[in-house]
Amino acid sequence: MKLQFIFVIVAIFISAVNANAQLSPTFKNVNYDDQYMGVEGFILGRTCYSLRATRLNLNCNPAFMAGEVENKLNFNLNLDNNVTEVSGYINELQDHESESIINRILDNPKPLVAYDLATSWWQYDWWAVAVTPARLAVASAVTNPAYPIVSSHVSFQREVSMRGGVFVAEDLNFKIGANLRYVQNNQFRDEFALLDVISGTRKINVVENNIVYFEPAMTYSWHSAWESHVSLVLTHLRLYESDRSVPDVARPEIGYSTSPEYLNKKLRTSIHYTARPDVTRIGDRFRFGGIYEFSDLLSFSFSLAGDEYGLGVTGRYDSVVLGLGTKSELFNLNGSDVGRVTTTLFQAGLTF
Amino acid sequence: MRSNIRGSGTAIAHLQGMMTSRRYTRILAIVFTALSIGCSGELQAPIESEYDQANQQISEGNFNTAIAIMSQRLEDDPSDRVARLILASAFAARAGVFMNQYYDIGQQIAAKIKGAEVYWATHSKLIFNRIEENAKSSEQKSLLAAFESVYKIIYQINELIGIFSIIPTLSPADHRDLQQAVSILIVEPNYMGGAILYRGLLRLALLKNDLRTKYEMLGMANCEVNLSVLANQLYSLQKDVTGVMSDFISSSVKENKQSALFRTTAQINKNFDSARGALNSLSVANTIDVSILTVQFGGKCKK
Repeated sequence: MKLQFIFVIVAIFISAVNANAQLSPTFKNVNYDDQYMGVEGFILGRTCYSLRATRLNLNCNPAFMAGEVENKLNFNLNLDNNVTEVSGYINELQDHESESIINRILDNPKPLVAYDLATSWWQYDWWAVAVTPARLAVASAVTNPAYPIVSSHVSFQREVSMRGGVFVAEDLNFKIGANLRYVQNNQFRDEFALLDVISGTRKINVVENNIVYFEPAMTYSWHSAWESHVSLVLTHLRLYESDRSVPDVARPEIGYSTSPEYLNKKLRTSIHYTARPDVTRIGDRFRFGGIYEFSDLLSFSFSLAGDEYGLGVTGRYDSVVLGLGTKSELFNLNGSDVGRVTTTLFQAGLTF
Repeated sequence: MRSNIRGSGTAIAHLQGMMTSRRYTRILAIVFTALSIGCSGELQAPIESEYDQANQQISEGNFNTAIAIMSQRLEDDPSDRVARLILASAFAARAGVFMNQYYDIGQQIAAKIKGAEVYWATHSKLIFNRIEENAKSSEQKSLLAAFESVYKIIYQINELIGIFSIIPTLSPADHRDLQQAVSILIVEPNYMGGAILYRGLLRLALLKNDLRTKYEMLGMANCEVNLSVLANQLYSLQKDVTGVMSDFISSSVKENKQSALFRTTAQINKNFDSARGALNSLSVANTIDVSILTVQFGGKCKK
């Protein structure tokens, strides 16, 4: 009882941390900035933080790594169905070519979402090191073609991270962990009227900044037939950033997951809540997701949220890992639904 | 009725699992409620929602709906500049005029005017020089000089309007919508930046169609030209063009761009003044035949 009480207090405190914070313009219902590593994370979205990963993936919530016995090296390449339209952004972001980026967005005025990345990680028991040499995330839309309003998030990142999880004292139910990430970020992120940019009254530039994130995490489980546990992760907590012009807020991720007795306990599901102040429809802060593991070699992942659903499969043959997932999500700009976007992601990798 | 025992057994197990976790669920309910209160976020102001709704309706082609929403907003608050701008864009959209294709419009305008000056000097002027060499009297030479300046200004305006080549010829209904869009924006004196540029571009698009209708005489489609009407239309056209250039200048915040636009406007006004001055100084019959000039430029005129 005492422990649960502490949990509630911590949760309330954390929620108060970002209650008055500011976020730069963003897409409230499109998960372009999820830190996923493969199809499983892509499909689960933020539910990834409250579910223990399969053996083919790295735990989003580092607390789950406590007590693991692993020694694996993974390489992953993830490409989506929009990669040909968006790959040009990489050079444009690195060369700070704002005009080219705007032109590319205008060439694709319909809502567009893309996630592409190359990543690798090495896990040794309770800790892991990950290197992501390329992560491209795009969400863009142009509304009112007569007086165009451009909404854009285009970012290219390189990341190095270290994460790990341990038990708290001798309590095997209580685990804590942390993820320390260094990110080199080039982003073009704003909402603007095109003609304001043409006239020169708005200047939108590519922002380049280096950020160090520290993301603490915890999980608490209790003995039950359903192996329930609650988890809490604080993501996007910045220890350092070289350019403070792009505001962001730390986001508590809270989940309650279970593994039902039936289905041989191969199914894990979670109800997850992300405390994002910019998501004004409270229902949109909740997600339901799950993983069904046929074996260490094959698993399905799925998720369901207010205006989003996804399904994916990841499998391994010898050292080769393949995955395929599709996600449909609704663009919502400032309270108006702009359109539904379906993204298909293909994963190919090696594991040793 | 036989029930699906396995199905109901699974459901019971599911319920049992949930029952054992009830107290934890209560705690979670407290946590989630606290978070919802603590992080409820700011609710969107209804007015901002209306703007976004109207913009989205225009995106979806529901121009009339957008017009209705923003007209109501303007009725409630006539000083609402954002609603005025979105309303004008809804009318412009209904007329088929979209700005998403004109990202590099600034560079195009300056380039077109400069290009027209260069082309005139190296091509069209040579044709006029050749015609003037064959003129039989000083009166004819004066007439040709006057028409040279008129042709020059029309050529420049057409080059400028060529930027809008993808705008189709407007039907009378579309023309009215575009006029409505411009008149909605004209009344607001405090627009800046993109809004003024938008107004200028809409006026330029309107000019494209006015050249065919309101300024028909300047098109030299008829072999017989009434000089008084021609002079009046030149005067009216100069006012329209000056209005457009004034909006372009006001919208620009970059000093060098403003200077370039000032110079361009000065050049255009000089050409207009020169053309009107030349016409006013003519002492010929009020209606003259220009077919010989039209033929020299490879065109045809109606007799």
